[in-house]
Amino acid sequence: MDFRVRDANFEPYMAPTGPQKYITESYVSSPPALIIIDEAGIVWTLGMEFARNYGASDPRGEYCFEVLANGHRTGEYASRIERRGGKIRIFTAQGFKRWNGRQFV
Amino acid sequence: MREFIVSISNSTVISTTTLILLLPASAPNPNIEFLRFWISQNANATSAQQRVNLRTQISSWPTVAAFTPRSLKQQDKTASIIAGFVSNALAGAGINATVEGAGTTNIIHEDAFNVLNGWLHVPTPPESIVMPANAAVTSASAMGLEMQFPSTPATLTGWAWGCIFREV
Repeated sequence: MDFRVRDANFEPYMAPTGPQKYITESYVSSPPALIIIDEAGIVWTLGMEFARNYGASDPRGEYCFEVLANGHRTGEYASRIERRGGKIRIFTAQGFKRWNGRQFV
Repeated sequence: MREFIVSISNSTVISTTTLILLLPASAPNPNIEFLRFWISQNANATSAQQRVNLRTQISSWPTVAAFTPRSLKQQDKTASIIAGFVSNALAGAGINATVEGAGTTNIIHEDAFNVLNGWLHVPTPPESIVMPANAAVTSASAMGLEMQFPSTPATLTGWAWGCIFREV
């Protein structure tokens, strides 16, 4: 997956602000956390605009937003980003997808 | 729906600070529905808990830096009914209070978060906070919504926060 398009509503917290200081603990979920950082130093956040504005479906009635990697659009829409067992996973209208280092599957 | 952002990055707070104040306009202007609040920081790499409140306050508000909300959608070129807050005038938004308001407050949401992870509050539809347009043009009985640190953070620098609201 090639993240080239920065989200239009980018905020500084969506990207690394310096050398990586920590990796998010397991079982942290966004929301209520704002950011999740993986071993590669990628900052995972939820975008600002409702995904339905882009034609995406909300999973089980939850609000969903585009998943951003370092503030760049991924094309995936989810209501939650979680860190489980050292992996990043997202809850989408198609169920959970897991980050394999290159894409969500 | 027309949606707007109030946000600030890499800012220093003084202590138990009101981070955001938003004062709806008088009727028949739109009500304000709050869709998202967030807080983050980049100065402290040590795990620490921080409390946060969402509260209402009437008639006398904090001294804040005026902030003009910007549109969430790039295609929306019309400014919000909410402008930068000017002392005790309705339809205003401000950030990072230097002096707290004397008006009566009422806490409507209370939470705490780890500063390493930040805080994101996305209320689902039945839980979203709607601030009705104020009934009076004068400020005496008007009500604003605030996001506030009820306790002093371990580190005062490097804070970022914001909210998204829409006019309904």
